[in-house]
Amino acid sequence: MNRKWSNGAFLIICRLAAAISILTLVFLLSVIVFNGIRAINPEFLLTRSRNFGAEGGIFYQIIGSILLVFCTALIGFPLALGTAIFKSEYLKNRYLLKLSSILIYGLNGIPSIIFGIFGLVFFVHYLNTGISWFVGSIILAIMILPTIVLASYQSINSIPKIYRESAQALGLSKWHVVLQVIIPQGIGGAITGLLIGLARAIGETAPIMFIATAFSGVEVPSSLSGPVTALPTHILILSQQATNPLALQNAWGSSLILITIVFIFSISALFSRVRLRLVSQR
Amino acid sequence: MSAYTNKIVKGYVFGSTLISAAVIILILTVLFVNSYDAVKEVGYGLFTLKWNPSDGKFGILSMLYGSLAVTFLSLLISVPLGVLTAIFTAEILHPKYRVYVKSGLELLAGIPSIIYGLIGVAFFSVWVGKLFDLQSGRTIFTAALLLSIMILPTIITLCDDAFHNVPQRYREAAKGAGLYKHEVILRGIIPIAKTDIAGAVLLALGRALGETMAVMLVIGSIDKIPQPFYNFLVPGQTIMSKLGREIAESAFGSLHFSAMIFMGVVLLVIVLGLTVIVQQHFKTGRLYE
Amino acid sequence: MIKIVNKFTCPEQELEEPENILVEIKNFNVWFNDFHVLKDICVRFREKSINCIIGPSGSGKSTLIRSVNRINDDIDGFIHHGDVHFNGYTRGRSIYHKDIDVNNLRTKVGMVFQKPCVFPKSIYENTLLGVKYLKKHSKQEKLQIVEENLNAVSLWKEVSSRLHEKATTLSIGQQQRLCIARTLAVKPTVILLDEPTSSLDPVSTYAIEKLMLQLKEQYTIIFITHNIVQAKRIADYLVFMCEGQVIEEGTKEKLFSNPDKQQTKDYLSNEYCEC
Ligand SMILES: Nc1ncnc2c1ncn2[C@@H]1O[C@H](COP(=O)(O)OP(=O)(O)OP(=O)(O)O)[C@@H](O)[C@H]1O
Ligand SMILES: [Mg+2]
Repeated sequence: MNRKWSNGAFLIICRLAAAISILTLVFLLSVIVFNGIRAINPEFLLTRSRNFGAEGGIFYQIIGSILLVFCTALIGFPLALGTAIFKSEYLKNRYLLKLSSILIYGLNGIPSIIFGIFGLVFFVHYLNTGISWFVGSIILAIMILPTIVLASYQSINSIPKIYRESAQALGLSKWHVVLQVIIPQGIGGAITGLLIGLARAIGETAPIMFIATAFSGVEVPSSLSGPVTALPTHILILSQQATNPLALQNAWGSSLILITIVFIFSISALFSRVRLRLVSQR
Repeated sequence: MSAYTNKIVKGYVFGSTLISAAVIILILTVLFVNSYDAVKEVGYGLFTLKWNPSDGKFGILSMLYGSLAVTFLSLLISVPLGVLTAIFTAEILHPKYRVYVKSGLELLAGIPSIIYGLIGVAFFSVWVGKLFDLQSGRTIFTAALLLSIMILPTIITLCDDAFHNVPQRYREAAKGAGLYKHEVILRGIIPIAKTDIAGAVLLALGRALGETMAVMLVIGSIDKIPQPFYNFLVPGQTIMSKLGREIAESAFGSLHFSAMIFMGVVLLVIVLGLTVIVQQHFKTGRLYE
Repeated sequence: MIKIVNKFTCPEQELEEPENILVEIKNFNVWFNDFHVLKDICVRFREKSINCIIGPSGSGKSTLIRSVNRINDDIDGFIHHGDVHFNGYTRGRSIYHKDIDVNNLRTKVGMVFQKPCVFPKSIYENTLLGVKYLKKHSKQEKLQIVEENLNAVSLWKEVSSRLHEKATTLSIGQQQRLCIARTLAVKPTVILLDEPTSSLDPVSTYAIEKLMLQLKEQYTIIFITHNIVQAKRIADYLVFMCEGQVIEEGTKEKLFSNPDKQQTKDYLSNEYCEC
């Protein structure tokens, strides 16, 4: 009797915990959606911000964020793919393999603001680049590097050895094997990793706020140097003026747009992963 | 021709690896070099309570305390909630819903921290202020509450995986021995999933320690250890929120700047240590998310 | 590390037709880390015939033929000692000589694996995978190569209408024949087959056996099987291996009717082996 009672109690506690978690998370999303929807209209999306963001729209912030992650992808993807191929196909020494894993996981564990500080010291001060959106892209690319490397490495490394041997047995050189076998079969995982990484990169504030963004008054940069405005840093200044209802409203609007872009990336990543699983089952 | 292209590919993959490795080493070197001034000039003074750059006082202990307190408190809330929720999703909920739950959690885990910050400013700090009748709702407790919600999805998915990875035969064997569901879970499954859960918690710990934006907006930014030290309903400061607020104000090359970097290094060492431990001993295998 | 203790040399055998030997393995030893897998192997494979290797599981058959096209080179901990001569190609040097271009060697020594392994590309591309890089071909020539080689494995009729579909949609037996066609397209001299029929149904197995009997007119075939009846059906020469050693080699007739060694007799009559 007693055991039955504690079983029931335990199950109720679990359900309760789940309910609390789910309600909290639903609350989060609905707060963003309902507050955000009120701020969003065509004018908000298509005009520039005025009065430190409290008035006007977020057109250049959207453009700036997209520009940042676009270049992040351009820099990070080839670098990560090359690293993953090297680790999986060329690196044979067991200790170096282990060391490389530690380095990659270590890079993955570095808090995002540290990347910002590194960028500030190394690029802005040592290399004297000044505040530059391109430096922001480089830093974001470094930040998401381990994500892409690990995803690519996992998918490349899970290609059965027989594929490599079959290709080699036909007389294909290592580079042809990489091009014909490794890349076509590993690219799906690499792209999933890229999407996960970009979903994270576009929402990050801390790495770019000292080095790549200005708070307002900037349009599209015409060269590699010079700041942009971006959605996360825009939300940051607006939430520091949270007592002003107009600023707060615009902050919610920007948040909804930002979260939509993030979700587009992460949902594509989910689908690309599901598709991969289907393909590999066949 | 083929030998030539062979070299190009080799050069490309080797080059990328070198750059990746160089970046990591560069980051560490830059941070260590820049914190050296503070270590040399201030020395043990770094581990004192007072932070006042105009006086040349650079004690980081208040911030360190803040970081640890916020993290501890947030885990205190999120770990029990997360583990129990994961028991629900993995063991009680019908498996056909699992894919939706997992996808939803992964989406939620991706919400940018600045948006959490905004929610904290607009709601949590107001609520905490009203509830405890405080002058300002921006307190250590508010930050911890916000942080615990931030890391909740991560803890739930990782723990759900941990439970899910326990082979079905253990459940069957335990059920076959006539155990009730709660006994199956508590005595059969949790002991096996224990290490993975520990890995999940350490991972969440690392994330919480390194969080900047959300904490910075709601913690109140006062560089003091509360009196008494367990009074969390007062403003505080963490290392990361301090960096976020002050690094842009300090002049590059100054002692102030160097001390800030030193603070970052202290936290980085803790977080990296955790990461390496998790990777070496727990092998959660999903660290890239 | 590993010490090569015994300076063993192959006994000079009196040969009926010495010019008949295409691949000659002399004093060949292989270790995986410190595990001695092949011990002083001396064996010859005859030109334009089916050389069949038999022996119990784990006796090193795969290791031996994988050493002939050096596909073992990339395996962690692979160490070899001794010579593999490929007459008419290596001119008296071992294929492990440092001047030998491995990729080129592999175009001369093709290999078909136990499990058919087609790439997730079209049938057409799979057939051309090895040829594509040897030299530039026009579209016309490519189609011709595809047709010729798919015909050689009697696959052309079955798939000519769907050349651009994924090769993974073929049946397992068809995939294995595609793998053979892919190997033939590179125009090798020797074809190594490691239990090519063991994952196939009887009908596909029969098709492949028939194919090998045709192929031996033009190619030297080195073939591993577990199936003694199969060896009896198609082999010309037999090599019997056990625990990393060659116990006996010779023509099929000799080994089946009056082998020199008792172990060979035991194995061939009731698949029992104690070496
Ligand atoms: N990559 C490897 N690393 C270590 N040992 C290996 C490796 N490959 C094979 N071996 C060992 O070498 C021995 C011979 O293996 P091999 O695959 O050549 O046998 P086989 O005669 O082909 O067996 P089967 O008939 O089962 O295919 C076995 O004991 C095996 O465990
Ligand atoms: Mg074998």
